[in-house]
Amino acid sequence: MFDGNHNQLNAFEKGCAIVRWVKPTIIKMVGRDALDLLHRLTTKELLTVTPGTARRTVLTSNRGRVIDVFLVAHVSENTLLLISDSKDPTRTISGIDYFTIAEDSELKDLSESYARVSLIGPKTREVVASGLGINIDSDKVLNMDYHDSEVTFSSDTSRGVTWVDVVIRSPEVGLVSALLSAGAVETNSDNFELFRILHEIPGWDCEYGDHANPIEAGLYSLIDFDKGCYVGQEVIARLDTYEKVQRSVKVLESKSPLAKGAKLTSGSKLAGFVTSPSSLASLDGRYLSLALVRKAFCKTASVVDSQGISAVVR
Amino acid sequence: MTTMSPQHSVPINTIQITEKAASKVRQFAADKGMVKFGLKVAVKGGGCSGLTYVLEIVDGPEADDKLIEHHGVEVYVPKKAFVFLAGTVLDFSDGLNGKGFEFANPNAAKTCGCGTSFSV
Repeated sequence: MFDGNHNQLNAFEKGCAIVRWVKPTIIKMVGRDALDLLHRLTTKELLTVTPGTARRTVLTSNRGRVIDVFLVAHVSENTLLLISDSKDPTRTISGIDYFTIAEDSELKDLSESYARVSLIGPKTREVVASGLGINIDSDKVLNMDYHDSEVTFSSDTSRGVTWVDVVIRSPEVGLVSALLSAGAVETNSDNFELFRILHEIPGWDCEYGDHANPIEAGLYSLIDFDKGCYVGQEVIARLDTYEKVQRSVKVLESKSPLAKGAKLTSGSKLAGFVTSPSSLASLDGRYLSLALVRKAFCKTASVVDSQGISAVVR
Repeated sequence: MTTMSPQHSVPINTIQITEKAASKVRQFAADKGMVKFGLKVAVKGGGCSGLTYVLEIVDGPEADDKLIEHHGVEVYVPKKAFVFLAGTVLDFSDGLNGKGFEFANPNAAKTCGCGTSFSV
């Protein structure tokens, strides 16, 4: 167990945790060609994302580096919500805008005027049903009115845990209170980070960003290798086919907390760098971090060094 | 003075199609039973390099299309796409190893392996 709030960690693992995004990225994309354009630009097959369904995808540069990862929630005919963990919507918007030539597609940044709350944990659906009286199935999108405010619920199974994103006009009125009354637990960023590290869930500007390709960043399941062309596809296909990926995301254990961005070394060799360190220790004094580790040092129990602190690959 | 694109000696205020490409367009139009036709050449987002060529045999231009006639074939280019295509030569290569319609686009800084997409 960790020295974080046990109740919060327990909610992620066994109940329903609430995560409020301080700077959310929420983009509305409207137009007849919107879905087709995203299908042509990103890694996932999106043409089968019908109204009422959602799928997470990766926007990469033509060098195969990650620009952003977002959930495409098809809220109604020709209207999509793009929900991203990024704190910089302009990067995503310009990444899409640059390739919008004659398409009927328009982007609108809702990040300032809407709030995003994520509900995470195995009892999420139960809590939503009990607190709000709605049932949300896997990878589905549901719209409802709550106190005269439109709310969109999008279920996302791509992280390997039960995860529902709630988008509501800011400031949200009473919705979180209703979920708390139904048994959800509000969590802080330290506990969310620890949960993310424990489940090896890649994070924006940590494991993925323009320093990494989606394969090494742990986003392999978000790539459809048989969908045809998208921006960066040739580079990514070549990396996979010829097994040229040099790094992968690994969990490290250390007796002191590591620093984000710190280099990992083994003797005189560079072994990678720390991407997400947790500030919370386990009861036996171990700290966990995520790191992008070079292939040669990825084996379980490999020992690397970070600024004088010894870390072991899990 | 007319400015020419450096690679292809094609004026940069137009695009050209080779006689072989024009002949293939006429053949495709005949196969479709079209008497009045033209070749729409456009660009859309997507493909390995970000921008993808679009070719379509259509029965006439749209309001915002630039109209070019070459080797007896009318070519329609949407004005928004023209900026990416100015100075381009469209050719056709057939045979077992032929790639079909091929674009020699002086604006393309990078082209993907299959030649259907490019970046500027």
